[in-house]
Amino acid sequence: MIFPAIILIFPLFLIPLASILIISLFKYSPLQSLWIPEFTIENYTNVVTSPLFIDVLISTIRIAVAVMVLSLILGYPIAYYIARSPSNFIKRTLLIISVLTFFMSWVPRLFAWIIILGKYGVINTMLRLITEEPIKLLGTDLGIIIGLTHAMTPLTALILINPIKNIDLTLEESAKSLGADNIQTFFKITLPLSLPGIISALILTYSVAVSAFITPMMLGQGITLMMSNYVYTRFGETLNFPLGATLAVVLLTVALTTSYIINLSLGKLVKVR
Amino acid sequence: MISKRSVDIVSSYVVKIVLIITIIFLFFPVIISITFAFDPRNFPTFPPIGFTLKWFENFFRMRTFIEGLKWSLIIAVTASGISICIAIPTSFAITRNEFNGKNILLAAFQSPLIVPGVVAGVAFLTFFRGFLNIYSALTNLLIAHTILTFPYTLRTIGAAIAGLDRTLEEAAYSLGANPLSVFRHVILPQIIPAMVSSFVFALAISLDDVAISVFLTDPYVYTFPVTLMGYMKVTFDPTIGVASIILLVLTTIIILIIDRLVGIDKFAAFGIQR
Repeated sequence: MIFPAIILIFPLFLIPLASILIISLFKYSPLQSLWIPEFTIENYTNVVTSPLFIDVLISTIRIAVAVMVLSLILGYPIAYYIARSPSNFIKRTLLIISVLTFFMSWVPRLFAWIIILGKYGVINTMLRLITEEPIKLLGTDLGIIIGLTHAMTPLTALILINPIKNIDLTLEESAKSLGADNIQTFFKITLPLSLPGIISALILTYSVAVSAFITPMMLGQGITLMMSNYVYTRFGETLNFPLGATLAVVLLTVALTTSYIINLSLGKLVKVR
Repeated sequence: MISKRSVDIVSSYVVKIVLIITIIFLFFPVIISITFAFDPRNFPTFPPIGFTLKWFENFFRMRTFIEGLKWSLIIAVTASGISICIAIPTSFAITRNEFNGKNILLAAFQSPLIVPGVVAGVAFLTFFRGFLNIYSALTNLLIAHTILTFPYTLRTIGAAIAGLDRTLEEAAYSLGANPLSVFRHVILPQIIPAMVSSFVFALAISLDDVAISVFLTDPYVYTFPVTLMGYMKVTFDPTIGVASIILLVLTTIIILIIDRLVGIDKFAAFGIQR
């Protein structure tokens, strides 16, 4: 009964992934065929020594980390109110907004953000009341961070609802009755107890953000690139299969290892507490 | 020294302000994307002026949009359907049996979630075209989208099947039912809500994908998001707002279906784990 799934995943997904690992080591020959089966590491040295690649790599990680932190800061209060608010109206409204913006397709999302962030967009129109200088948001890291945070905040909120709901309310109440103020109660009780949920939310948002494709393509306007865009443009320009395979392998490695490092360091953080 | 009470008052205001800003931040783009579908200018800028329906006309005149929407729906429905048909027997196999290497298999089944879309796209393109010599974009897109949606359908249906009350099946067997009729009359009615909600969830995933699909389309078979991506890179006019409204309506229908079947709060707690 399990065979259909095995056929779907192994020969049609994992073997293609393994095949690009091999093709990334092949030589490219534009005239003969897609590749020549002679081993070389030239593709990797080409990719890794390119200065543009290093820039893109660094800004990708920077953007993903910023998105991960911002989504937590914005998503946590939403999850907290959905889990704890005494008013059903507030709970329901926040839940509907989170679910709607979670499911929202990238088309309305990015259509709106291009209008909001553009040179004559909502933000710059308002700024023009105060200053003359428009700020540049489209084509910058900040623009991409805003767009990705918009996509990741509802996800973070939805993941955190249950971990917060499961915290025993009496713990918070007893802290308060012993004289702790709200801030102390939050940092000593609520936050540490929701830490496992926070960590899974952080890792998830990071790994989605680090491989983001359409958001940086539209909000980066070709000026600022993230890794996925770099792979797509380099491969699309040349249709050099060994190079494309190499870029894909590098992207996969970067996405998996950085997520793993974040996972490990956050795990340590929990143990220290 | 600052009193406990004033700390509490200030902190609760700060949290409320952050919450309100976040709500505006999340919801404002939804309003903008709808409003600007009716803006008469070729390049929408803030604030909106006037009202027109010409972009709707323009949208429905564009053959590539209609074709893309058609192919997207065909691919999403077929791939999600296949994905569910595979997820049901797989769920039975993994919830009711113990065997060696089960955890490795489970990790393998969830692996499409952790591979970046572009990497999967390059891998599919290279393997299907270079090794299997499948040049049909439709076949390639169907395979890719089935794989893309499989982790989600497997998780939702797997949970439903793990939660089945087995005494009902045993009762049916002891009354002389054969396995087929047990499946049809005992199991199926219990897992239908999970099937439908994972089906529409899979539709949403499939309809939204560009990173994989962009590698697999050809001039004859292309998906709606890929068409829109190409269009948006060249022309940025309110026709995209019309597409946005269509996709927002589809999304809302999907959310309503999930809400009716499993409840949006339960789904939020469990189903959304990329």
